[in-house]
Amino acid sequence: MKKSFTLVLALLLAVLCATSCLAENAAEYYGNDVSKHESLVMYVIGDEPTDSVLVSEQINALMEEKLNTSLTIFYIPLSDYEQKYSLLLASGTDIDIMYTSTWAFYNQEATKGAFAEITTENLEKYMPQTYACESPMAFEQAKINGVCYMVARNNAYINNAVPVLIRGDLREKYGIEKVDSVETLEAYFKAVAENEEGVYPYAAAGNGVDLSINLFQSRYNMLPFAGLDKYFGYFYEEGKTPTADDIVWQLGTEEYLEYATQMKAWADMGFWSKNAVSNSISPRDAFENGTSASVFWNIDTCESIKNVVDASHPEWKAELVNVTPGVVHAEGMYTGDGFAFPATSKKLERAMMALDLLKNDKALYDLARYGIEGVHYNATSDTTYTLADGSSGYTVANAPISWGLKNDNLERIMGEAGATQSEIRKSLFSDAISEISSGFIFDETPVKAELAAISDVCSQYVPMIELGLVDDVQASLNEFNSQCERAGLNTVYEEVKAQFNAYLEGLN
Amino acid sequence: MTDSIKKGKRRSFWRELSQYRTLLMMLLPAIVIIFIFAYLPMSGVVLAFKRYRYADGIWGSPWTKGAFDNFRFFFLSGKAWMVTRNTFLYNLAFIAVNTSLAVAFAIILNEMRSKLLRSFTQSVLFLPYFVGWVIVGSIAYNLFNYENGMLNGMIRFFGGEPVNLYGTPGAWPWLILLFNAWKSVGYATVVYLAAVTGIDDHLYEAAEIDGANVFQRIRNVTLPSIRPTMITLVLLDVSKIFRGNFDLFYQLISKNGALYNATDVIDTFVFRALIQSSDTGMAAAAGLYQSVLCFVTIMVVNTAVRRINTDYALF
Repeated sequence: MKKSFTLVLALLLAVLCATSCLAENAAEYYGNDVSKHESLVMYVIGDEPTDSVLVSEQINALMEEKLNTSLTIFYIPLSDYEQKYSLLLASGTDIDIMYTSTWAFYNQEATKGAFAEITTENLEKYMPQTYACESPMAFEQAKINGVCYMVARNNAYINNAVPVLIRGDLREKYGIEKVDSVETLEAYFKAVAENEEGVYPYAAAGNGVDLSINLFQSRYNMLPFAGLDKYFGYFYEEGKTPTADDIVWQLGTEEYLEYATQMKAWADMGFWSKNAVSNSISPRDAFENGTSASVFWNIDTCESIKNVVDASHPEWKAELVNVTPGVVHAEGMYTGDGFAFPATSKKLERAMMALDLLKNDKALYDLARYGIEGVHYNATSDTTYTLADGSSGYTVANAPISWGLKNDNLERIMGEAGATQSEIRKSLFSDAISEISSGFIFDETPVKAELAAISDVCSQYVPMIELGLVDDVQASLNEFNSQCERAGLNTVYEEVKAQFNAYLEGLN
Repeated sequence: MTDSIKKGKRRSFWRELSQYRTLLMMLLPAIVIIFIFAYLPMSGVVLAFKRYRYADGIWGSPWTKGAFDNFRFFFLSGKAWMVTRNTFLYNLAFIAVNTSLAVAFAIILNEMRSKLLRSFTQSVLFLPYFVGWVIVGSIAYNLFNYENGMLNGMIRFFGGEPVNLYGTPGAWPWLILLFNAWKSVGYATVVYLAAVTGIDDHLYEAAEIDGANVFQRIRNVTLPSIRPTMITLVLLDVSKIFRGNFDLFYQLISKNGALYNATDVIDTFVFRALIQSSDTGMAAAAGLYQSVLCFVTIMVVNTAVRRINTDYALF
């Protein structure tokens, strides 16, 4: 008995030795010693694609070869990230690389000390490729109280690059030539509401945030501040540098009243359910199932929904339209997507190198972002791609792992070789300007209690108001705003102004 | 004289300790578990007064500037009173409704002669206990939503005017009571059934010989016999009277702000306020607030019960 046990042990050891001795893995990465094998854990936000394991195997093969490192990737579903994200960090789970973003609690978690500091020396040493190709502004924006905790994407996010995805077949059926304005969109919605049994023009669920980004903020040239997206911002005026006096509480403006009044009219015409706030089936699922005639989301997500629908229901002729042409598109934050290194990780150096490789190595980037060549996508040239037969198994061109990696130099455009940027993309952000305010990050520590109280008031009123499910818009808005004032709105307002002033002074 | 009594007492304590050492050893695992999982974590309440930073840990994190800074968010909006009242009243109603229904069902089940019918009824009662609140929430939505809910479908079929229940706060206290009873009465019934079946049959025989009918037997034999069980279970519920059942309220009401004034409890309020900032200190503060209220309530109620009858009190 004992003998056989020893034998098995010896065999096991032999096998282990053989595998580790045989593999010819890299021993050096830009002058850093990587001869010791490391395994890293990476967490990303997003729904896990069916073929994630296949892709992850190939990523790992390359990572082993180039960095002597293995990578385990975990997904936090979009529907759960609000609850899970902070818990994961608070619990001290072993995580080495973690997706983060201004919308995924970057400020809050960084202030709590969840992430490791990223110094310029570290960047130069462990992430040389990223350091070389990324704008210093990206790191500047990620600073909180002077310290950077995030490696952001290398191109600025345009907050209002938001199209509407509609059903071309329904548009044609009701004789609407083109949807290119809010008015024509309303005509399309009206036709659907009146004639299509069982299809909502927009099957809103829970709230109307995605509507309001497009039809309120974008349409009225409202540029929101990072981290205060729903609360504060200013109306863009060409050639004018904003001052603290231009800052407005978005939900108290005349424009917002106008918007809310229109949404009430839309709700009354039955564009979505009277009980939309209690509905929990996302508009995306509803669109894919054919019970919603539109989706409002950012361009990347709308495109991947279109890809799904084009494959399953080509007869719907899904099309992306821009209903707010001519509005300003400001380069917002780089920090809308990025990766951070949890402070508990003991492998910071290797994690930084791994991220550097993922962001800049063409083969790895292609795998992470587009999946496996020939299975999920076809590379038509170095800079273009088309969908392959198995594209439904991986979120091609918008895979969750790649959200925080985005690198303009390695992006592909959909189409045959020589294809250029699509019309919709051109109309949504090729004219983007750069605004001075984009680097402003609000530190919420001094007004935490007020923000928590306001957040509660908003969760009670805003979804009802934005989905037009109130009897009297003006009265509800008045009630809502006075509740906010009670919760400490003015204190927060003053703090935002003071910090913005300090930010402007710091620039000079 | 007094000295020798004291000595005697002390000696008998040690003697008892050694006399019952085997039994006490058996108790030890339970004590250790409760100490580790209930008493040790209690030290975490210091978080309610701290600005928690992961890097510094629970003890190393700095204190908040003012002693009650973490509690401020709760009282700022002026909703603290409303949600506390809602939590208290809902739980009070739950205790009253669920206890009376559970006792009633336990007695009915006990009186049933057919064994098959009895276990069938019991299973049907118990089944909802295993249905998650998430499912109950979507069942409710499919029953009550305005456009294609079952209720409104029926109303339309009979030519009536559909009702928008999700816009009618007044209806929800009743619906919540109904759903909660539907889901939890089965479980409580089993506990009471155990108490009812444990009653000595001779008592019933004697009552029957004395000419008591079914109702008289229930009133004079069954109810007095299960009173201790009832009081203990009610007291246990009272000790949680300021803790809202988060799953229930969150899943049934979800994001419907129109209903909040009638249906918001402490737990859902805190969840919504802190989900954006996920501040550990503020969440701990809200938990401490609930704990203090619960502690005061159970002490008061238990003392009152002890005044009336020492045997019925929890401690």
